[in-house]
Amino acid sequence: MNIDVILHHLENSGFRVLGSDGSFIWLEDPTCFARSLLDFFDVAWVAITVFAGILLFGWGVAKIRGIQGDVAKNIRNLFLIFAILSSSRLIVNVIWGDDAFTCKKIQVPVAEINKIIDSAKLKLKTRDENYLYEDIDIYDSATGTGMPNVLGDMDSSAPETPFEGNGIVTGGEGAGGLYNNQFSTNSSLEAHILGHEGYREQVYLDTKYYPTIGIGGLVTDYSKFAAYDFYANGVKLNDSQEREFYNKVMAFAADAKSKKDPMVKNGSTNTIRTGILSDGTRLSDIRTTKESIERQMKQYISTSESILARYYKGWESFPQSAKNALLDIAYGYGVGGIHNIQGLDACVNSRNWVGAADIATRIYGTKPSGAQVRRWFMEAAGS
Amino acid sequence: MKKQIFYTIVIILSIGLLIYFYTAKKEMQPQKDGESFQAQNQQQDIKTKEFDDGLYAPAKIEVFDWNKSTDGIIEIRTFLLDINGDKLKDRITKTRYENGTQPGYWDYKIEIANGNSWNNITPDGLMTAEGKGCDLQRIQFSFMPFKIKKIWREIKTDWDSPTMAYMVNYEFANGILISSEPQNINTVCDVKILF
Repeated sequence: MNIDVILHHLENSGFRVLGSDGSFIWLEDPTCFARSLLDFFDVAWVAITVFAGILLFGWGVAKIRGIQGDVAKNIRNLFLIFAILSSSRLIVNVIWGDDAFTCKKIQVPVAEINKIIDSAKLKLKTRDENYLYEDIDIYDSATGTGMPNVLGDMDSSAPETPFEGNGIVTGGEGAGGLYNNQFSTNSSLEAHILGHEGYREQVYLDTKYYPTIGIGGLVTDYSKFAAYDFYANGVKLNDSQEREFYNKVMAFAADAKSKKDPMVKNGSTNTIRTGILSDGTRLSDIRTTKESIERQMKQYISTSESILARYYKGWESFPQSAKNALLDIAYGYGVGGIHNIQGLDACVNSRNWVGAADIATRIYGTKPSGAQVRRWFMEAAGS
Repeated sequence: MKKQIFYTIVIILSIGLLIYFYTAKKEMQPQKDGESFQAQNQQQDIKTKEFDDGLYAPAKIEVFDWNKSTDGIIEIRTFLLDINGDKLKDRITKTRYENGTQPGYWDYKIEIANGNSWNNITPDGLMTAEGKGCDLQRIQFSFMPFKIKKIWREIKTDWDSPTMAYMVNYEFANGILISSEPQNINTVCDVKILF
């Protein structure tokens, strides 16, 4: 959009545009207290003048009626009040040593504004211009209440709860295979993990208060967070916004952990009610994309495989089904923890896949995902 | 009358001063820096408490971006220390592996300098196994004399169920690390408390 049009729209929206060049627009901080005060003075000055006029008129009438009084003195006092009011800004500035009534400047990149406009245009394209009575989403941007789910067509697989989007959700069984079709899975392992883990496109806290996203992606530092693209109301967060969101999520997690926010059992899901960040944003208001989750899923598998291949000699020659079983175990127990499962390393190192299947039965218990892991080991034993 | 003028001036000057201090205070506020600093500190609390493995002042730290890591290595710390008292700097390398879904682990490598090359004397399984709540395995180094303590436990059914923890000590002798017999210590969930 042309910069003059942008400036025109901004001014019409009540912003004070201080200047612009081809790259940036400088606006006056709309929250500036001094500006509010000056605007108030502008109105107050007129009111005082009108009031003074009424007083003068009253004194004139009183004088005509013969009342005693020193009108000159009153006028002099009035003049003094006006003079002091007029000079108050000058006095404050002398004390301040600068212009105390100057508001901060905000520098806005034109490119960012154009991105937002393009995004809004894209969203508007989905609307039917001939349909005048379409539903309009109204929400409180401060609290996020009622904000639309911008990626609603790929809603999370973890069971929806009365506390939707607000808190801790465990992964695990129960998420079901309903969502498998939404991913272009290229292996039975991906399909299996998706089937029993499901995914969430919003950040949530796991049962140990760790921020988690996607398919159980643990957020322990910013690089793991930055691996995902995040969107708020259809607009992609830029790097600084994502960093800010990360800081707020970590603060939220720390707060929940320190308070030991209670979890509420809801089916196979544990959750807490408060999923609201310090600025009022709900965790569910900011979501990642299917592509990001899919990318991280692939990275999890390739990374885990690379790590396990360093440890297990002859990994390359393992049957694919055995690899799948071990990768699934590493998913749940970690690439470090897998080696502390009683008897598993001994079975793997001796290619005793039947023994490994028995161990899978022991550690998975009645979890549905355990049956597939056992099947994989048995398949490896038969190959 | 003079008094009235004086009071009027005092009131107006007071208002001016209030405006002055109000705007000055606003200028001095550190604009959310405090908030992000607090968030960073809180983030440390979320991470598993840093365990003191006895290795300090690394000679080199390499950090790798998770997004660019293809082998799961996200950090390598190299320590140069004289382990065997031959005045040559030996090398201990600890490498952090993570797969993105669970807390990762540190893998340790011990190499003795012989003047021309490094002789790897790392015993098998010299790595940690860290969990969100409880750690399954931890390693601790001590020096003069050089000693490694390893405490671990196994998962029988699930991670958080306490099981018997075992301990071995490794001591340097004749150019290699000699392991003690494993000994039972206690039934715990987090082995860190046993160091």
